[in-house]
Amino acid sequence: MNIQRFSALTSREALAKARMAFGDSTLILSNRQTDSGVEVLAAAENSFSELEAPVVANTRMTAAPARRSTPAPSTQTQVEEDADQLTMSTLSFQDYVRERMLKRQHEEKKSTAAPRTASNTQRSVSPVSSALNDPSPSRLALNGQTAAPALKRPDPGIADELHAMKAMIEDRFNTLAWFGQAHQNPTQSNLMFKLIQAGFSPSLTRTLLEKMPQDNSPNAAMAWAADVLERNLRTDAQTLPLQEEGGIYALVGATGVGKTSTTAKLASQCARLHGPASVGLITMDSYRIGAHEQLRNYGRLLGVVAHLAHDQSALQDLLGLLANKKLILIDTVGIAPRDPRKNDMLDMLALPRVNRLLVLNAVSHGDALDDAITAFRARGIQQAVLSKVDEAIKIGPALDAVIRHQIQLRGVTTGQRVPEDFEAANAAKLIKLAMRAPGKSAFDPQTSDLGFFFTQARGHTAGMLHA
Amino acid sequence: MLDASLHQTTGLHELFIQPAQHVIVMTSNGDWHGELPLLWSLCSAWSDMGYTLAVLDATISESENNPGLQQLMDNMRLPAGTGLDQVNWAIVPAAIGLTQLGGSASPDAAPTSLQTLSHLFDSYEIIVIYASAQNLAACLPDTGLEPLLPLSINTLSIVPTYRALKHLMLKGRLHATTVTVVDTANPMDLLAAQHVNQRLQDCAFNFLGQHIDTLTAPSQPLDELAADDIKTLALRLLERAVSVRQDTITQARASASATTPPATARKH
Repeated sequence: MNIQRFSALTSREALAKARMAFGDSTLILSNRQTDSGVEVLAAAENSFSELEAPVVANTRMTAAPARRSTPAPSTQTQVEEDADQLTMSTLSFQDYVRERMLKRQHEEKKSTAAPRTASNTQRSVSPVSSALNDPSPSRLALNGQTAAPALKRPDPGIADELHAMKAMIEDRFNTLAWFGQAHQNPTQSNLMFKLIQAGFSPSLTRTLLEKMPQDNSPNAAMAWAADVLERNLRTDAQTLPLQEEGGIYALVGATGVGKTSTTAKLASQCARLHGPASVGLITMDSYRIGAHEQLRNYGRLLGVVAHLAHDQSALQDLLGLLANKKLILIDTVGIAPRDPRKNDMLDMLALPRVNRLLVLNAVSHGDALDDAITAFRARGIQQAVLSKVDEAIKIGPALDAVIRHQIQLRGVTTGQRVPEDFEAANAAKLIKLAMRAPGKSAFDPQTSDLGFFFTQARGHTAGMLHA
Repeated sequence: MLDASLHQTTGLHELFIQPAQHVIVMTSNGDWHGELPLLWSLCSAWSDMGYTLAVLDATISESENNPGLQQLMDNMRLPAGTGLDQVNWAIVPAAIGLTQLGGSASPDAAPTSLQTLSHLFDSYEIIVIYASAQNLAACLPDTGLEPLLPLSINTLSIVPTYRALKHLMLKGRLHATTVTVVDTANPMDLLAAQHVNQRLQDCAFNFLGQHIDTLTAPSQPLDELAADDIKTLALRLLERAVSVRQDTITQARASASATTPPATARKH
């Protein structure tokens, strides 16, 4: 059988070429568009006469029932119809193959994505959740339960657990994705490292970096971060300082944070401005040996009497006695944030016009500061003094805790000297101090360690920071 | 920083604070059994707190054998051993001296009396004047002092106490605070004290138109709680004491030298 291919710019030219080759008995087998024009597959009619017998037999075998009822066509007509069928058959197969190829490619694309999601789903769903999702009686029967009740009443605890796990997994993936992205940006990466090195928490750092404009240069990014932190560090810069504002303030906090010294410093500042008669001193610390004596000695130097109150009624009585004072300072016993006695002590201070001032030790670890603020803030404390700033290698953790909890700083103590080492809280100065390049420390993170910080971070502070 | 001459409160010393003396008055109403133990307890408390104090006992007159305020005002030094050996505070008789002091000062310059006293006892941080209501009203009127007026829970003491209260208020314009001395361990005594205090307050309000502060103090500060009560009372009296500072002492020196040559009592 002689089958030839003819290409031309148009179908007419291609057919003309085929007729030139095979004459009037040309059989067109296929016709398709190509990049260069049209391609025609053609053969001579006599080529098919050699195949006629088996083709006819074949056709009879498949179409036998139909042909019994219809008259047999002429040979010429039959050959033309067969040739048409063959042509159609050849074209359909090409389309079919093309379709299959397209389908296969499509399936291959799908199959590359599908196994990934399938494997993720399998990993994230625990056997318990699989049992819940699969309503087949056989699976549920393993737990000795019927299908219907199990589907109707899933254990809320397990559901919560699953939601929590899902949220955690999503959070981890998001964090990893964010960290990978941020890590590739040199400016963000550099700023991230500096903030972590300065002692700021990963959660605050991430919140800050997420809000940072993309096109900042390293210096501009640093300045932007300092500016944002400064604006989010609440101080009393817009109001009068404590010693000028006056009122009743009880200094509370953990043991050894410097409450008595801070009390003496504040009393001194007020006495300097308004005279010793303007200050009232009370201590409620009857627990620590020498606590009253310590405050009384400060008081004697100031010309102020330091009173002792054992209980709320005594405190109330003393507040009445000192009602004409501009500033009354109450020194309290140092109590650990998780000590149950803390509530008793704060209950005693629950009197009208008594403000609670939390003293935070800037030297403390971030977790300890977080714990202290959380514990005392639960009782309505909104103001704080940051003590021992001079002793802190890094004040980043303290500022971080103050920013995240939105506590207002009313002052900082920068040494032991009374009264010199008490300063107003200056946000710009404190942030600058926090961001200064610290000396080398074995506790400093390496750039390669940053991933650990962020994957372990909890309590994202989104929304707390005003960029 | 570690220099021996420097310490935590060096700045405080250099700052501005001038030493102030506190003048405290306790009224004698004849009930020595209640008054003297209370005065002793208070003085012990102040002494324990580290204050130096001089007690001017105006219930006793000065004499050659027992010199006191009068002799000091006459520019004489008190002989050594004026105080008692057992305590580190000075106790001087002052009946005549206080009368002289009150007589020498005009009513308009009443605070000058305190400045004179302050100068005479300038080495003491607390000056306690123990005198009768009549003497106080006559010698130290309009000084802003708030005399402590002790009484017992005996109902017989209410009338003399009220009389003293009225005298101080009307004659000396001195606003007294009463303190009922009781056995704080005895609940019945505490109830009785409450009753007495209430009656005194009512009397002062109804007849004098004044509200008075009434306190309760333990008669025997033997246990820790009673000692704390005394300490609280001592601090309260310090808070309400009249403070005389160095700058006003300068004025007192000038006026004292014009009237009576100053003399100085020294702590033993």
